[in-house]
Amino acid sequence: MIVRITVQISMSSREICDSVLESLEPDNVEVPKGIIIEMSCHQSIFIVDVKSEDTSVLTARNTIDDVLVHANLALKTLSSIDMR
Amino acid sequence: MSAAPLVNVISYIKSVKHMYIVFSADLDAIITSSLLLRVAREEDVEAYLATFYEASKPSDPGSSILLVKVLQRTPVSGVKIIHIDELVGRDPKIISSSTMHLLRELKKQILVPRYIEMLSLIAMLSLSRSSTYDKNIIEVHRALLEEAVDKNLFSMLETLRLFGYPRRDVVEALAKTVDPYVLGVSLNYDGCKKLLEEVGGSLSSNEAKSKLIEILASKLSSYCRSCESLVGPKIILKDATPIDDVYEATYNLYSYIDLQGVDPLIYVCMDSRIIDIAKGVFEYMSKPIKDLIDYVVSGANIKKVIVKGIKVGVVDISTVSRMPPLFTVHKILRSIGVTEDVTVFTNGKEFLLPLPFVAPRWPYDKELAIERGYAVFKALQDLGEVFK
Repeated sequence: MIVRITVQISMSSREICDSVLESLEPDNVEVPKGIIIEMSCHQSIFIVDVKSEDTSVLTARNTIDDVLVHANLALKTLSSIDMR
Repeated sequence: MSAAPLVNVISYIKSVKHMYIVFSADLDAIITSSLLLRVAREEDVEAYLATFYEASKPSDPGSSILLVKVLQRTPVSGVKIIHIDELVGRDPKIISSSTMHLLRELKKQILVPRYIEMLSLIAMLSLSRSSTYDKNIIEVHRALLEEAVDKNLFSMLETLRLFGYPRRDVVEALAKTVDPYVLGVSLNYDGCKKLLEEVGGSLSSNEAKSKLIEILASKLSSYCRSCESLVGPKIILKDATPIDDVYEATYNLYSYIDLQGVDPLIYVCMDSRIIDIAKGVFEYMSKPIKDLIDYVVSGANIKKVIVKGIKVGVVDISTVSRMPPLFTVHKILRSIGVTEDVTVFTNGKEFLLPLPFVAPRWPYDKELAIERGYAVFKALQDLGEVFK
């Protein structure tokens, strides 16, 4: 079975999006076997695409969870820089 | 350089009810303190950490305070004070990494993750006076590197000193490299693409490599006063997760401290995501960094002054629209010899001193106005009281 989850998050600027992407480069996120993650910025929209082949739906969901937790951390840090 | 520790570090941690750590605001001391916190948690010992300028005397009588690269200013009654050097056998008179000493001692007793070993390399490089490629740093730590760090973790290769090279795409490696900072190339993707085209589109041939080195050296020669060679020994990690390049990660963590302050970094030994986030922070600040460095290197908004006998570079940042990470900017400028050992920044009204320049003493008797990773002073002369 192939599972595909795409999440799009609107960020406040392209700059923020690129920086979150830098924090999340695929080699920085532990990717389980059978999972392919693609991340990109389209203008200020952060796009995460997780494809799962021959793994459980739960694995794909956990992967996207990990990415989102990581993205949230990066986003909070970057936002706090601008707020100061 | 090293002596046998007076007290075993694990025994010390186990012997205290609460561990109080007072640490200096430099990257090596922060990583050491973070590692102590990690070990304390594993041993179920409660640990309380504070920087030397924030730490107050603990309320429980007879408590023990561990000073990490902090000098004791005056005796403190009712408190037992121990220096990290006594636990790890480090000679305080020699500039060497307390993290690497601690790692060596810990590895005698417990298993230490590879990630911590990678961090110890960053801690070591952070002590460089100018460029992180300063050969003296490796020289001072040669024996420790042998003893403390797994030989399978890294190799020392004679290579082009670009961040992430040779693993990373050349344009990206050129653009991300800020040590040395090359005008028109560092933090400038378009400039890097043009440069690569100039040398033939790739670095697959020795001829292209030589041409690239020649162009970079020629650009640097117009302003670099004390550059390390572009080709030379470089630490290459064999396993690039979670740190791609220890030289780059050192700058990323400097900028993280600059913008977030010291406190969040205290968890760096427990959560490798901090390294990833620091990468994002550096990327986010790359434009303000580039704008300021380009301005300083090509212009004249840096003055050299002597404050209480110490040579200081004073950089005017009154025209910048976004506050750059100040200590990071200092390290970049220092690596090309454009500034002195200490750099102070001025916004036209006040003088901003990055925290790693503040002499770490405890108990601290001065009021510091701290914002992010720097202390604010009304007059340049006031800084003379707090210099390292």
